[in-house]
Amino acid sequence: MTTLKIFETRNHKRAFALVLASTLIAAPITYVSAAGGGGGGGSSPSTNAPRYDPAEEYRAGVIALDAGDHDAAIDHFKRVTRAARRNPDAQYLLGVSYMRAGNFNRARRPLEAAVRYAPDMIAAQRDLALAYVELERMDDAQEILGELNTRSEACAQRCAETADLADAIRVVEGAVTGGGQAYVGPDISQLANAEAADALYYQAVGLINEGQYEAALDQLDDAALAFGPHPDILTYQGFANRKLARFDRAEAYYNGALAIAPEHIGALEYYGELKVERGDLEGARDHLAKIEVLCSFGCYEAEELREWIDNADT
Amino acid sequence: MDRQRRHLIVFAAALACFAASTLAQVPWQLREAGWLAGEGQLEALSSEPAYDRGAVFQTAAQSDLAGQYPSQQALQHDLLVGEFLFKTPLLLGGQAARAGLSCNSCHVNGRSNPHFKFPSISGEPGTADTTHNFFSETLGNDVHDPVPIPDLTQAGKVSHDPVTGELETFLRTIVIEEFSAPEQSQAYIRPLASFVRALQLSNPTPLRRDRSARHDWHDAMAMVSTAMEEADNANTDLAALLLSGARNRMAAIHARLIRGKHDVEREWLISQSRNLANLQLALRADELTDSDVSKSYAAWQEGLATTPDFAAVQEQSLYNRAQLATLLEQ
Repeated sequence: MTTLKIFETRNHKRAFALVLASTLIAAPITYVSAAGGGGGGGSSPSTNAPRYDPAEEYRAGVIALDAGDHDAAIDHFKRVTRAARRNPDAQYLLGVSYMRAGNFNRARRPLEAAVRYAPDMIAAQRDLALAYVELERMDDAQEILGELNTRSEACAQRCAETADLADAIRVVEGAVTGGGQAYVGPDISQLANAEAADALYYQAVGLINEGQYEAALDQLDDAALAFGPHPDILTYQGFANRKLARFDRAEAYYNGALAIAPEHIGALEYYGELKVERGDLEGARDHLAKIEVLCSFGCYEAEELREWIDNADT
Repeated sequence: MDRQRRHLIVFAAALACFAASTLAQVPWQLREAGWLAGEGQLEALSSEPAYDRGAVFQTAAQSDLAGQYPSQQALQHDLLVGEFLFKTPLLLGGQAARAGLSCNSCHVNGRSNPHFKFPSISGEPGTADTTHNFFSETLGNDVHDPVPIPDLTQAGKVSHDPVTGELETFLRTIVIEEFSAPEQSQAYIRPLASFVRALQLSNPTPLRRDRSARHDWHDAMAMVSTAMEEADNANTDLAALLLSGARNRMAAIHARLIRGKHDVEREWLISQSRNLANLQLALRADELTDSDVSKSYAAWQEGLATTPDFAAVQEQSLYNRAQLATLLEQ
């Protein structure tokens, strides 16, 4: 068995999976409220009810993984993946947790799921290839190596992920040939650091403010790896995609956010704006009505959406 | 270490780390806790620098500032408008307004805020990076360079001489460029500048006072009165904005009343806030009709007949320092 060693990974740029909207099972998964730039929830009787928060569970998993408690990390990520089966970050870190526990057989499935739901997630591809090597499935490892090489050639040094691709190729090649460096996975301590993780999110929103939507999506991918299925992040993934005129993707992300947090006013607002852009004013008004109920004392999100609707009306 | 114990430790660490994260859940009812940090958080949430509105007016009335206004009444009105805009999050735009920040969040009653610590934007408590692209769409400089939040009652680097107009230019930059307010907010710079000038002319006491429902409610009432004066002068956008400030103040009271214990008072606040929302809609309607405005305002006034005794309930609420401390410890 290969000896494992840490190396860093970041900047996996997520390919879009339209299925994201259905990634969150419909069971009683709701979110208490979301602060930050994505908006917050209002008060309502239901806020007293016990709720399951996959983002909180995900963070607990990250902390456990960082602390070396692989069993606890596995338990946490398993629960997140039950709630958000198609969340690639949760699947990926579940796989990483198994790998760190030395159980490559168990690591394989969640890593395959991560790659399936986020085909461009370089770290997941790399780690899956390494798991295949450990399981002596060399053909499968070679196939991933081929995909990474193809992407790297297509990138031709011009992509944001050029360095990550080169790093992944080097590591997988080493593992396949048996002469390379070994592995353990992403830099979990960075993900576990709340301040650093927050910074990823704030930087992403800053990039959105400046209209750098592609760069913001890269940054949001990093934030998503730190926070998992968090409605604030999903909302801004939707927003950036909307600004890039990828309306279907945007809608899927908004739906993903609202599946976790049905009262997320940021997601309701931005999804309402998308509906305005699509000419669905009635749908947008429904969103506004929901926000007005949630914001008993008024909020910026309601003002913004109302302005969008008014402007479309005139 | 046995597995169960190790799990417990990890779980505790997870909770601690998660609590430190902004993307964690800041209780909506104490939103300002999200930008107040450290040992001074309880102090900042339970008290504020004393502010004597009457004294500020009086000093301003005896200064050159009065010369810019046709009457003392006009000066007083503009100072009120400026103060209430200062306390209204919707004066600003973008992420600041989304987060519920107003000018007053950083400059509490015109002073500094040594406990202000907005994640990623502040460095040490009491500082803010004024050129961060999280708040500003245009001023981001890609450098984390937080600066101390100044006390506006003290002389600063910007001239307050009305002849130069330097203060107005500076405020415009802050409101519109730093905090992404819409361009029409420029119309509100004059009263804001008068208020900031008056703050510097005043000689405030260094004392602090307890946060109280009475002060917050008086502010809300005064904001509504000022808004209606603006509405009478056909400044309907400004009136609607000031009403949003009043609702924000009512939210602050609502936030500190306890569910299950103060349900009647909380419901009353929501009901009155809805009356103000209707008033805002009436003011913003394309075809303004006096009857709609009057009807909405009458509903608000009728509601006032059953105003709760906020002073009586506040001891059992989160205005009470001990109660607040217990919540923060949790």
